[in-house]
Amino acid sequence: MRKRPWQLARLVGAVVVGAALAACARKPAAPREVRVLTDRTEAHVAPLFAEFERATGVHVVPVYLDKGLVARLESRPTEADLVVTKDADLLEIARKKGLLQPLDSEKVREAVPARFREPSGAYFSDAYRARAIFYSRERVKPEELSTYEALAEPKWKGRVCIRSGYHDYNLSLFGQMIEAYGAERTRAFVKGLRRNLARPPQGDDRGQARAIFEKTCDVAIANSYYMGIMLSSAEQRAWGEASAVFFPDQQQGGTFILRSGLALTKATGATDAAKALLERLVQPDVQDRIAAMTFAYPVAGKAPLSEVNQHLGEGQPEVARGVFRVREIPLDAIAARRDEVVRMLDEARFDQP
Amino acid sequence: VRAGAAIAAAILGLPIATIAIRAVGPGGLDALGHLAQTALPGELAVGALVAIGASALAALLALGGLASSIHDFPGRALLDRLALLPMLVPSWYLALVARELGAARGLAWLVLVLGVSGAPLVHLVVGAALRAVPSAYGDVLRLAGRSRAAAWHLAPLAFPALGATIALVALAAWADAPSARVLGVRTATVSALDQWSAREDASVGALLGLAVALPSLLVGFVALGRVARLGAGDDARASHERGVRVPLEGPRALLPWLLALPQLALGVVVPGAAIGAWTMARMPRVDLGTLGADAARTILVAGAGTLLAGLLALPIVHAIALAGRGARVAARLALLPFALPTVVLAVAVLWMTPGTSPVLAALADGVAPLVFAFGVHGAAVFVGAGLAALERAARGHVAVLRLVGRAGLGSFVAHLRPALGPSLGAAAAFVFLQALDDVSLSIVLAPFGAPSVAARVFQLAQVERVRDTAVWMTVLALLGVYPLVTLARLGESDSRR
Repeated sequence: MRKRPWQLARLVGAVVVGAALAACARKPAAPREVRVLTDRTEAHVAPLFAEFERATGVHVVPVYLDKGLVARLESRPTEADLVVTKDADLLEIARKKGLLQPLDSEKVREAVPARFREPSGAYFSDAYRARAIFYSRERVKPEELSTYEALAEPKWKGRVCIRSGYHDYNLSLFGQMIEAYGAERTRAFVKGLRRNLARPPQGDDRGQARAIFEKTCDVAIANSYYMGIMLSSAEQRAWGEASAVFFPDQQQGGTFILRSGLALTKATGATDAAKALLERLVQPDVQDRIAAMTFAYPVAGKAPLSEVNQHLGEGQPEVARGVFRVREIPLDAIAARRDEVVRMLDEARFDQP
Repeated sequence: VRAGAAIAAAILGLPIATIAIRAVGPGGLDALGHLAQTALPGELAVGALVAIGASALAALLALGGLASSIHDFPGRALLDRLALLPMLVPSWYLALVARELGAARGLAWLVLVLGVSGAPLVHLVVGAALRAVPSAYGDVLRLAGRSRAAAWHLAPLAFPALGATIALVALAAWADAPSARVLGVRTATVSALDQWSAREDASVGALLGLAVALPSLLVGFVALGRVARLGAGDDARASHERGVRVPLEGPRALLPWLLALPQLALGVVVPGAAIGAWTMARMPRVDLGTLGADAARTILVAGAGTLLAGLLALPIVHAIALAGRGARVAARLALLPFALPTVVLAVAVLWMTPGTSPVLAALADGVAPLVFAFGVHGAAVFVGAGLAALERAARGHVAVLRLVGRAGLGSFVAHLRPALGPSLGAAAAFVFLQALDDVSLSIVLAPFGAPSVAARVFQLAQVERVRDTAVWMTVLALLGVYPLVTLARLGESDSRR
């Protein structure tokens, strides 16, 4: 009788080891499977993958990462066929490290304008969004806002919210600023913004809109598409309704944007299936779905701006029915500034209380 | 025997060696120098404050457990079980609940959350140490008319356990990254994660990871060694009757409950009510198929990691029993990966399994790296538990095994099963619980198409959808019930042995 627990333990152990070994075993290369490494929000891309699966029978197997997309790709360049990222700057870094292979696709070339394609075909963008200013409808008038740099002025002391400076979105924004304004002006802006924060940087972009709703701050830097996402959610609608979106720098070259991106990895063993998925994602009907679902601006869609996006930038004379002036900074230039931005943030002790 | 222990210790030392090798890069020292002049001192100070604050708070909150370990009062067993319930909810989820309910942010909230999360461990270990006190102590106190002050007189006997466990809670708080990120606190560990992901030069992340790991390695080296020897005092070994039971009557019977009230309110009632209410509201919308698959996979990976941890630890425990002092160095080395912050361990394992080699790529595919990481991280707990069990086993037992030529690992385990079984069982339950709750390893090393329950909850909650994660969180908590009950039961019986 005393042996029973041990026999049971042995049995359980054997089952666990066997199952784990089975799970660990590398699957043979399956042409009907595409492995996707992505740092995008699951809810935004999973429906697109599911639709591709239904249409083609090719199984899409994603892994959703939080941080370290390039580090993982660099460490294990053979495990994924595709990279789908919220921030195409990362693809430029991956390209420089030799982790991507050029995509030769007439369909992609036809659908995606040249400015959203890397010249050698290493990657392309499927959509973009503005790194905008959210402001309280109740406590701020749009006339009070103008540029990103103005948020560093003393009048905004204790009134600004932003997510971690080290997040990819802000690394990209500050990198673009260095390219557009120069290092010294950007450094001054980062320090000034840090001084004006209502609280240490935290949360995601929706968290900043929530902070405006909760009156923790009056303005925040966040991506434009979160407005549509929040207004589509019963629980987050109040956060969205409390804010409005302002496109900064409309008289100084345009608002900075963030581009999502896609690329084939160098080691993909399922090139045809992966290529088919990439081509599918830039077809007009899918691009329109991306726009409707994520409220990002597709690079190749035919549908007009969504109702929500048409109302962004209201009160700005330069913005007509949501159409704003974009300032495009080349991705290679932004990626090259990444380390410099991190050092600036360290110097400003940006994320510290 | 020594070779087996050496191989196991070498495997356990691989992550730290990998980090150390990666730290030698062109940009690493330069970046660390820059960080040392700018953000790092502040981040280290915040990390230290969190560690000190959380461990002190955990000790305070566990006072009820201390009282319940040496007194008899109505509902004592219930209080002991309730006090452990916060172990079912990861600290980062407590942080999410606090943020969702009260817009909690900042250092004070992080200390509170990590203190509440750490208190059950203090309760468990200190309780076990006090239950190991010979019952004769109670008779002496009664004869001396000091029964009313029993807690005061017996508390010093729990100080070694208290000190070691507080150090462990401090270690966990220092190494924490998910809760700090949820509450917007920039500790040195969070900074290490950011620098690794933001900079192109891997040596910067490695060097900072090493810098963050050093204090925890030192604390872990001392604290885990102490935990390994807990309950091994000569007085305790000489006694056949363990456990002082001083009855509390009348209004005094409420005292342990009153002392435990803050911990029960913050760690059980508030999060339990919130998660319960959100679960009821979301239940109809949940895809049960996905949930079931996630749960099954989580059990499998956590179970395999726990098993690997035990397999890596057994040769070391075996060697210590037979080879003595020399093998103790291996044991100390085996403790180190547990002290390594899991975000640093995750990056180390990622680097250890490069896809550039077809053999390593095959090994690194699927859940293997994650299982390896859980195994390496949890082995220290098994080593500690094994050493504690050895201390309690009859000293001559191992010598006889050697004399009759039955000193192999199989015979060793078979003959010392009564002593090793409960300790290793409790260790397995603890390691399994930790693997269930993990997000740092599970997200960095996530296998394709196979997220764990905790990883799915954390990633969904990151986009401000905390309430939508409640059903998954409930399942995660339920998965931990059996291991927690086992841990409590074995811990109790082990301390009485």
